Order: sequence, then structure tokens, then C-alpha cells
Amino acid sequence: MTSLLNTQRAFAAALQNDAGITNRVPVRAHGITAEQRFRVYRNNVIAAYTATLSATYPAVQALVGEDFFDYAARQYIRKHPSLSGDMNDYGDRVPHFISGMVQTRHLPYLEDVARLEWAMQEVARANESAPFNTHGLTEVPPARYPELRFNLHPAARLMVSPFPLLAIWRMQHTDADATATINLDAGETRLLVIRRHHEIELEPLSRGEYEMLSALAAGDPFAAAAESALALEPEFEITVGIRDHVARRTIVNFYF
Amino acid sequence: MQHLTQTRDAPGAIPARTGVGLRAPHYEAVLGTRPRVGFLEVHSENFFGDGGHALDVLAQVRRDYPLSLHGVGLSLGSVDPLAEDHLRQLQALCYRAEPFIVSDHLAWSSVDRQFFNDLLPLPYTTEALDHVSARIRQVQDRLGRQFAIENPSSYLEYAHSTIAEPDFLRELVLRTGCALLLDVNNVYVSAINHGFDPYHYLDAVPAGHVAEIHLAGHTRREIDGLPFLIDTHDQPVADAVWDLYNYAIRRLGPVPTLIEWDSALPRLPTLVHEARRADCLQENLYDLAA
Repeated sequence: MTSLLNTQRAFAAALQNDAGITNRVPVRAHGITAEQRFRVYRNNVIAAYTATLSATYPAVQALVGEDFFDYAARQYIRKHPSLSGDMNDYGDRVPHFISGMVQTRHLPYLEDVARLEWAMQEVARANESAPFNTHGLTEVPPARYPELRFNLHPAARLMVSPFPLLAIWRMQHTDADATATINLDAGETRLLVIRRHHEIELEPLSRGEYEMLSALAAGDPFAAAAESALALEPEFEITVGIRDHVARRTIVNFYF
Repeated sequence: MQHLTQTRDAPGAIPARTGVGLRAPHYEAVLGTRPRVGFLEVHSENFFGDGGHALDVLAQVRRDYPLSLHGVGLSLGSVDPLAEDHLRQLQALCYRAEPFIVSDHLAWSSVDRQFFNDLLPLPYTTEALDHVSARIRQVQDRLGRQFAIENPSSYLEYAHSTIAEPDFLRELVLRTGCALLLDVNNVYVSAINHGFDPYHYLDAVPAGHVAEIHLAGHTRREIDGLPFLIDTHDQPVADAVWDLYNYAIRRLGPVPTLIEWDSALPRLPTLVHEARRADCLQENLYDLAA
């Protein structure tokens, strides 16, 4: 029963279940007990995952407090073991998990703040854009504009929230006036999370602009994207919007 | 002293000067001041991914420094299949960074596809030896280059282990042609925790196959009046570890050495100062002017 596989399974079971290692794996104790020795590994594992989650979710941590965050991290680690050798992949289910905890019900916007932080984690390491290929756009005959399709920057994510997300997020990230209050009914937030160069940018979008970029990201042709954008925001200037995002390289490529 | 020639003439070998670990809080200071150190070492996994700031920093420092890629997530000792995505990313990073050495640990971190992201201890049995040898061959074939294996620090030993750690490492070298990354602090930490003589351990390390040495700080605790050391990488190298290092380089010849510091990071000059200390010890023993 002491094959390599059995040893690893028994060790893993002891790590996961807060159970002891005695009776699971034969350990040489000499002086210091097997449990005292094993505890170093368990503490290391929990500390490493907690540190990773707190680095990815600083605003969530600020909102719920460090003690509760550590407690929630422990629960999360047990429920969602890591499936990757790369710690940067860890924590994708935190938004759903932490907002589902009974203790965070008074923070209705917590899930969206967490979603924003995961989007930032994703774009931080997303691919550099392939060479920009929007120069040829000027040669496209206007009659073909409706069929145009566009690729967004690989390090771009779109998100929408019913809360003033940017204001909530900023408040956790700056030494904002502690007495400042945020009106939670201030309206929806639509955001472009993007890393065009090295810095991650958070850009608020209008309803039409968000709709246009979402439709384009989904592969819709320009005519369909324009139609859904204008349905939501009749005054949105669609050609100005598209030119602006081509110029700023939110849009990096076009095709038919 | 034939092994010295062997080490210094090996393809891709670099002079036996001391390097420092490059961690995110020091990016700006390293780019701004370009400290005089022999090489930089990074954790491979922190540079996985297709783009971003970290890779840009890596490309910039690579112009001025030899680079060591040191992994913590390959899980060489696991029975699970090697993670294909991890290998692919490591291969891509080798291509980008052209490191002089690529390494990971003699440890395991996953079972049944679940990862613990820690360097967990292996039983040193013939089964484990066969298994780890096959895995190292697989990695070397995939990367098309020699791989280096680091001795871990450990807190427990299995009762069913039948091979001493340095003998296990020596056997891996013989079977796979891999190199060793000798962490002198890890030898010391394990020696205190398990009650063996760290100098005897060094005597058993196969000279001529150590491609890099690691030095780091540890934390000393006491359990029931007995010393117990934790490999924390959060403070200067302990005096006892410097003594052991001095013994190691006498026996092994000059070897590129790294000062590893991962938490409670000091300012960059403190790291560079520690590196200078290792350089002085090597210069006292060997004429490294050439």
C-alpha cells in the first residue's frame, strides 16, 4: 500500500480533509511528531493559495475585510482545488463563490467587483495583439460596410453591472475619503477592461458603445452591431464610435 | 580537477558569478540601475502567458544578463501525466528567453489532476526513481536540452524510503544525464529537520554535475525544545549555510550561485550585497578573472 500513487493519494487526502497523516502514510518521526511535520505542508499550501487570491482580489478583500477574506479563502480552497500547476489560473470561481456566502448578502455588488478583478487578471496576461491590420479599412468600398466584421484586442473584456462599479472599485484602490459615500442607485456601469500596452485600463462605455463592441466581439457584422447599438441608444454616433475604437486599437483587425 | 573544466566548458555555461532572483517588486530597480550581478533567475511560471508587462521586462533584462529559468510547478514526481500545457508554455518561454539553465524540483504537487502548488516530498524508493527518471527524460526530450533538478527542503521523511537523497539525485544524473541544482540551504534545513550530517550529504553529491547553487534564508523554530527549520526565503543566508556553501564550492569547484529571496523582500542593494559575499568566497578559492 506504499506505492508512489498510494503515498501521494494519502498525502493529498490528509491535506484536503484537515485530517492527520498518521495511519495514512508511514512517516519517520524522530523527535518531532509526524503531525507536527505534516502541518508545515498544510500551512504552506493554505498560505500560498490565500496569498494568490488576495493578490488577484484586492478590492474584494478591502470590501469584506482581511479576516473574513482569509476565512472565505479557506472555504474556497477546500471547495475548489487547483487544477493547474500555474497559480495565475487559480481563483476563477471566486465571484460566484464569495457572493453566495450568507455573510456577504449585504454587499449586492460584491460579485461584480470580483468579476471585474478576474477580468483584470485575465487581460494582464492575455496575448499581445497581432500586428494591427486596420489600415486597409479606408479602401473598403462603402457599399461593403454592412458586411464588415471586426476583431477586438485579445486583451479586451467587456462587462456590465447594475451598480456604479467603477466608483466602488476606485474607492477600494485609492486613499479615498473614508466618509465618501457611493449612491448604489447611481445607475448601471458598462466597462471595457483592456491592456493595450502594459497598463490595464478601465474605460466606461455608453449603452450604445457597449452594445456595438459586444456584438462585434460576438462576430456580428457591422450592420447588425449598429442596429442593436442604435436600438438601445438612438443618439449614439456609430461611425464616430467605430473610428474611435479603431484609432485607439480596441479594434485590431477587420474581415468579411 | 577535471570536473572544473567540464563545468566551465559545458555548452551554454556561464562564468561562476553570483546572480539574484528577479521578482516583480524589483523590476523597476533592476531596469533602472542594472546591478552588477552574474545572472538573473526567474520563476518560469510567472512568465507563462502570451504577453504582458512581465514578458516585456524579461526581454529587456535578457539583453544584459544571462538568465536562469527556475520552475516550481512541473510536478516531476507526480504519477499524473506531465501537464501538456505546462510543458508547452515552458518550451515557448525557453525559446523566448534562451536561458543558460532550466530547472525544477525533486518533488510532486499534484495527484489525480488536483494541484497543491507546493513542493511535496517524494518517497525515495526504486519505484520513484524509475518514475522520476522517465519524467526527466520526457522533459529533456520535449525541451531538446538538459534539465536541472533541485534538491528540496523537507519536513518529513517516509518510513518506506530506501535510498538516501543524494544517492537518489546521483542516480537520476546517471540515468538521464540531467544536471543538478544544489540548494545548500535546503540541504541544511533538511539536515536539521531529519538529523543527518549536511557535510556528508555534500560529500555524496556527484561533483561535475552541479550546474547551479542556490542560497537562501530560512526560519528557525523550536518544537518541544528541538530545532525545526522552515525554508522561508525571507531573510539573509544563515552563517551555518555560508559555512556549508564554502565547503560545497571547495568540493565542487566554482559554480554559478543564486541568492534566492521570495518574501519580505529587501531593497535590491541588499540582495546584490549578499551576492557579492558569495562572489568573494569563490574568488578566495579560485582565480575567476578569466
